[in-house]
Amino acid sequence: MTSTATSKIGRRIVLDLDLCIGCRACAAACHVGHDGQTNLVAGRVADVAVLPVNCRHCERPACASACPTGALYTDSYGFVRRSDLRCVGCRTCALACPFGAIPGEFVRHVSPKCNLCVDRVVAGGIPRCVSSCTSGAMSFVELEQTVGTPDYVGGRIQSHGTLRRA
Amino acid sequence: MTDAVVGVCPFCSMGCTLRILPGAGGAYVGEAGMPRLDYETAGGPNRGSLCAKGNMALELLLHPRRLDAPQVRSDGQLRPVGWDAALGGIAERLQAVVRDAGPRAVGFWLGAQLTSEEAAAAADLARALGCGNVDGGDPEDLTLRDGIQRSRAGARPVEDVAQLEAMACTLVVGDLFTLAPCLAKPVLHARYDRRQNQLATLSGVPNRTAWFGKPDLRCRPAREAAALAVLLRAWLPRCPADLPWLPAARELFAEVDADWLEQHAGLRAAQVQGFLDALAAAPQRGVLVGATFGASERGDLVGGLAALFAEASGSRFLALNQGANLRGVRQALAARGYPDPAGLTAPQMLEAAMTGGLRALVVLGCDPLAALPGSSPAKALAGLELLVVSAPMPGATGDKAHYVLPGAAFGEKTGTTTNGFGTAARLCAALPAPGAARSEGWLLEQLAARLGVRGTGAAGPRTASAAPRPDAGFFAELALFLQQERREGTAQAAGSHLLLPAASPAQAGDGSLTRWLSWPAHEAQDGCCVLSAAHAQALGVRAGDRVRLRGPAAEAVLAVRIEPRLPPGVVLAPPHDPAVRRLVRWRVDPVRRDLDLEPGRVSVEPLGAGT
Repeated sequence: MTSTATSKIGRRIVLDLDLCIGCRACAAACHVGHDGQTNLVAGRVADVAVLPVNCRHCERPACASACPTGALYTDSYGFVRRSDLRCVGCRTCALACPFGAIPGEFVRHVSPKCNLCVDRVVAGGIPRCVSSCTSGAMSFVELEQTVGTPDYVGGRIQSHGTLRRA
Repeated sequence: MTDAVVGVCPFCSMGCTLRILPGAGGAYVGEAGMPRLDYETAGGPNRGSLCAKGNMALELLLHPRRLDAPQVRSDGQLRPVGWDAALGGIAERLQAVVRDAGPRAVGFWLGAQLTSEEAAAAADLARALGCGNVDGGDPEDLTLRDGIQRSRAGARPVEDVAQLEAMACTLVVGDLFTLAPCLAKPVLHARYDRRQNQLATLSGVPNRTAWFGKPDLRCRPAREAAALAVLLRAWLPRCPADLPWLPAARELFAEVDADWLEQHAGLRAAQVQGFLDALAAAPQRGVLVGATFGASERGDLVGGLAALFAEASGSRFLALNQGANLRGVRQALAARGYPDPAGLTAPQMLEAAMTGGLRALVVLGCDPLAALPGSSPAKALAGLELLVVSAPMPGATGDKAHYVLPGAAFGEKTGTTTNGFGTAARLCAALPAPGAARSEGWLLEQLAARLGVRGTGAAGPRTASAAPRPDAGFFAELALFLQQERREGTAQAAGSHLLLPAASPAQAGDGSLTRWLSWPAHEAQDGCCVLSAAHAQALGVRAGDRVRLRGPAAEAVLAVRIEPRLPPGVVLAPPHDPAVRRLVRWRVDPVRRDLDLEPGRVSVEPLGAGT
């Protein structure tokens, strides 16, 4: 499927590593909002920190390229989504994702793929995980403007060296 | 119905607001037309955020195990009964106890899940009965609350989150980000967005809040009270001369061996000077403390000393509790003369039940046996002539009750709740209570009518001999504590480890409400005990293996998690686990009349590979 340039939404989730307290409120919000399916991986960093690993909704998504049934596609907003009917739960997408953002634990035998809370975003809202974030670590920002900022690296705002987690 | 209702999260005293979209037709309603939760960004201290518990608030309202009919115990079994029969039976048995043993044999324990109006109605009913035994607060919060009250500190309170955001220097005592994760947003905003600001943390073990401390003032485990004494002592030369308690403080610290105190606390005055200089230079300062079960040798002294340090340093002070409406309930009771100086405090009621001094207890909106489990209180409550519990979910106290009444939860009743900042919020009923569940307000009104004591009860007899509460003086109490610590030394039995709480942001307090939610099951690590790497190696256990924590009177079996940074001699365990709570010793202090909690001492035995 092809995207329609006119309706593309360029906002993406960015995590500030200095601010995340590892409370997993984002994952709980995702769990509640998607009827028990948590589309957000808990990234455990050397047993020192727990950070959410969220889908980057890549321009050229490796998960979609790898999907043998064509269940993953880029929609008209530019969001990488999963077709409810085509997904067979083979986990290829989870293996292909370079960020490890698709949970290995599949609920209902389909890929728990983040849809960026498209129901809320198209209505002008923000994804549930970002809304819920207790420390303001997650933000939903125009990626084009954020990419140029010095601390931005791959969907993350780098720590300023104050992050000790100990 | 498509209008969103703004509710208040019931899981801590932060008082976060949330939106409930009831029924079909809303913007984000699912296939089944079930109510949905949304985030309230317009107001509230959370500004849209919700912690893991708050996100699950609707699950509690829609839970299949909700109590939906009054139950009465007959032949040892709880059986459903109509409201008429339940209320008639309770009134009759209450009257019988008052007739036979007087109103002193009756107690009312009001939890922080009540609205302020419900607390007021309960106080009125008790007053009309002539009953002085009325207290409010979950056991979780009583220690901290009583210590702050006894210190009589005059620190200015933190009144809203904007003040937190504006703070240039903040001291956080304990792990507040786990107790109230939504507090992180304003505190870290001050910490990072203004970059020049300082956030200092004081704790005995590594935790979620201490990650962000700079400096991270690390005292010896469970020695937060002594560490705060070190801070206060170091601040004394900077204290305003007109502080009423300054002479008492100077006298105390003149007598205490400073070197011993610093060694005992594991915190040197030289280590804190940089932070104290920054605090003195900061235009806006704050001291924040929170209630955590059995985290320190003397949680009440931690609260009191933090409040005094806040006053001395001109900082604003915030004490966060586990109970959502603790402040509102306490205010409502205070307006009606409770706690009665001649009456019993909440934990004293438990003790009186054990000794036979109390014969009827009405527990509304909390679960004392979940918070303070153990065979003696459970046996004592089971031996009461009348135990009435009103709660939304089944619980440990309900298991012993003669009457279990289905209470309405926060999203199902109207009234007022006051958060830890002192901000009152109106509760609106977003959903109807299930089945025959009713709010405690309705229950108290019906009960008052059946007891023939309808009205405010202002004319009712007050308990006689309203002697002032014994007050040994906070500094005398601190001096006594430090003397005792010095006398007893730091000797620890061989093989014994200090048991400290490893709270989870997915659980609240004793877990009596949050254990019903689905999310904690996803956070498997939160149910584990935490050992240091050296300790695990010595025991020959690996992460995921099970160990038995053995205390003097109880034991608990838990899976292991390994934390390399944990100091030696310490084991962390989840405080929402009833088996872990049994390992924490508690008693009612005869002089202070409050709850004494001591971190447990346990030995750890390996059990082998986990399941």
